[in-house]
Amino acid sequence: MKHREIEERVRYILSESLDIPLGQIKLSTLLVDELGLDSYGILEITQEIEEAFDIKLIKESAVFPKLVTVKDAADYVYKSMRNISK
Amino acid sequence: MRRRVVITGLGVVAPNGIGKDEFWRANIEGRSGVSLIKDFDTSKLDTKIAAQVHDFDPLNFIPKVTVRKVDRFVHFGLASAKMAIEDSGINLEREDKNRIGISIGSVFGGVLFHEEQIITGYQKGFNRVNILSIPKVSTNAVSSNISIMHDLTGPNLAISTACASGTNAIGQAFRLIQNNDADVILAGGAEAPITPITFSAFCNLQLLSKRNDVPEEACRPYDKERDGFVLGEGGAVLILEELSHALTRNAYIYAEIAGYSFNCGAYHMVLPEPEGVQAAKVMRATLREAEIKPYEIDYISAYGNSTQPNDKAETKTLKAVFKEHAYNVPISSIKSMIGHTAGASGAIETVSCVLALESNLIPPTINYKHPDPECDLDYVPNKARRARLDTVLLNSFGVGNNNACMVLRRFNNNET
Repeated sequence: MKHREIEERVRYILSESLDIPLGQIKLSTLLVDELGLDSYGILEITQEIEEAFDIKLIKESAVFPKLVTVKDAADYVYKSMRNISK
Repeated sequence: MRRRVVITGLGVVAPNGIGKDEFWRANIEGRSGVSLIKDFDTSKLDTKIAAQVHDFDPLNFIPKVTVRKVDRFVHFGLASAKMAIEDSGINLEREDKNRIGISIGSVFGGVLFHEEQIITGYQKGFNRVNILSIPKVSTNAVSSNISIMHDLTGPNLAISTACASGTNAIGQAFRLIQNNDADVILAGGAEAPITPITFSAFCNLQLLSKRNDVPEEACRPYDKERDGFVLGEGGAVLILEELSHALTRNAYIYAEIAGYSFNCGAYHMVLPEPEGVQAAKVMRATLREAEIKPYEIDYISAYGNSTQPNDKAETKTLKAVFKEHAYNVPISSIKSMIGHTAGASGAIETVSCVLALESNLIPPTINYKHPDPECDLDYVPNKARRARLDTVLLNSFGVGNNNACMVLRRFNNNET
């Protein structure tokens, strides 16, 4: 899966899960400060991403909350997927 | 003197109608909400019917974000709460929210999502079980979500006493207001048990009617040929309010709760106590608190679940408590139309009792065709009946012998 495609899907998941119009979720949008995700919300999104991409992130959930922007999240998914395929 | 408690708002999602008007019309017209199950494969089950809520869109009542994060029973509970708040005309923003509580009954909680996660766990690995299963399955998901949604910080209860859950949730709310722990409580019940595993367990327990060819005629309380209950789903929430609080805001008062009692028959987890000794005790205690003699009861909303043992035992108990008056007082079971909605049943039936008082109409026991010599009382067969109603007794007897009764009374302002 291309990096760009992952970014789009992460934006789409956030939009659906939080009921925020896709247009308001940019790659530079801040997960906590702008989208209002709390620690539980991060877990929820993490799991939705796992299901969408069929990957496992939760045991690394200590890493996930450190991601600041939507782009950081997408990059992280991209890296995780490459690790799996290696 | 104890604080008086009145009912000022109604919200209901029933298999035969959504909202109090549609629900009441269906009850009076004797309309069944039972149909064939289409959501999952029932081909290997003896029972293929249930009383399901069709044409219900939670998005009409609840924000999209919440709809996704809660189970179907919470949809019913939150929708009922919204309707009840609107019906009561209460402006929550003007109230002291520390004095407003919630009390909601449910037996199973959010089982649908949980059942799906069990399959996921076995198929994909347990590390894939969704975290939402915890907030979704919790029995307190309705009571807590109502509080969160409206910022209501008063007493908060989730009651699980089998098929008496809804009645006990309302009864405990009644006590909390009487005892000055709250001024207003949203009380009721919600249940969504028509899920593959839960439904199949009921079916295999041989408790359900097998009249799959005529679903709407399957549930027939007190009929000699009754062959079990029909599992149902739904919810109801009532606004209970301390009398002076209701009068101060000029609320419309539907009825007053005059008495309530509950106990346990301590006999069996599934079968009813055959002589109904403890059930009779609860009825008598409820009448005593209401300061009403048995002959003064105008209508009994029976538990009447359409199983052979229950309807026989309940009839016996009614004769023990009401003596000769048992043959005069109209008795009906709306389970004949809406099935058995478990933790929601007592709450939906309370809404029905309130509307009966309001309209002086008794909803019928439908599908009554064959008289049973062991059930020989007046069950208001097949057709609604007009009658002056001032007092109504509601019976709820659950599995595990959880008994709860309540007396509702037409509100009389002169007594204040």
